[in-house]
Amino acid sequence: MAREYARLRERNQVTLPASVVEQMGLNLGDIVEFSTNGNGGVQLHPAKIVKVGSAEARQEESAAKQDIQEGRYTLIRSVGDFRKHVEKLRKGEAPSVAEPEAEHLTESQRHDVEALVQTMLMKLLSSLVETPRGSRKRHEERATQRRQV
Amino acid sequence: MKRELRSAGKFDRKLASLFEALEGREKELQARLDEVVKGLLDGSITRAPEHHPTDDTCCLPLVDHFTVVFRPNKSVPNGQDEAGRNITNFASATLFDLLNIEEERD
Repeated sequence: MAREYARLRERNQVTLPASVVEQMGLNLGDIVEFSTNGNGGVQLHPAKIVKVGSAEARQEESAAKQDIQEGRYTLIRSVGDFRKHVEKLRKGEAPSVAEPEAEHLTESQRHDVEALVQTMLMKLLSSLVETPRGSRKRHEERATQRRQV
Repeated sequence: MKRELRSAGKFDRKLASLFEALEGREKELQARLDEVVKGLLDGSITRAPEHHPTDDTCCLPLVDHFTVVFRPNKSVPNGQDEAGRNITNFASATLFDLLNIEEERD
């Protein structure tokens, strides 16, 4: 792998080596995209808007569908949501990944859950009430044994 | 009818690039995006040219030659427009996936 180096200057400016510009096929005014790889490194990609119907466009559409499938999307319910989302994007803030929708229970499922919770609570309460009695009984049994000895 | 959009991570990166590319025209782009998003959410946009016939994707113009590619969860073919493009009707769709931004210029 060929390595080239550049120095960070004022206002975080770096000049891309000519060989990199050539290899990426960049031209004046092109936009590049930086993405962190999670290991402290950064990857640089040309962020071109590709032509409709091109092979690159199809690849990008597939990647977007995969993003959706794997939960890398933001749910938009209003124009206000969308504006906030765009604002975050433009500030370079990672957009939030949509929270999975809360699953709604049917009426009968809700009834079953309530009944189960009620039963468990009753068991818990009765065990709490019985515990002192049980310990008192055990204490009395031990005292009787001691007296017998 | 409740409608929602899912903005794919890939779409987000394209959108950020487009804002960079159209520096100085951000308000114009935002206004058009708002128009598209509002139209899809409130059901006032129900038809669009077919983008790719095999995966039910559609496209709508943004600014200049840029177009937004999206996929409604329900759609039916709806004839052709004056330019001879196949038109898709997604009036009954409740979920739209925003997939990409592409350029139509040759």
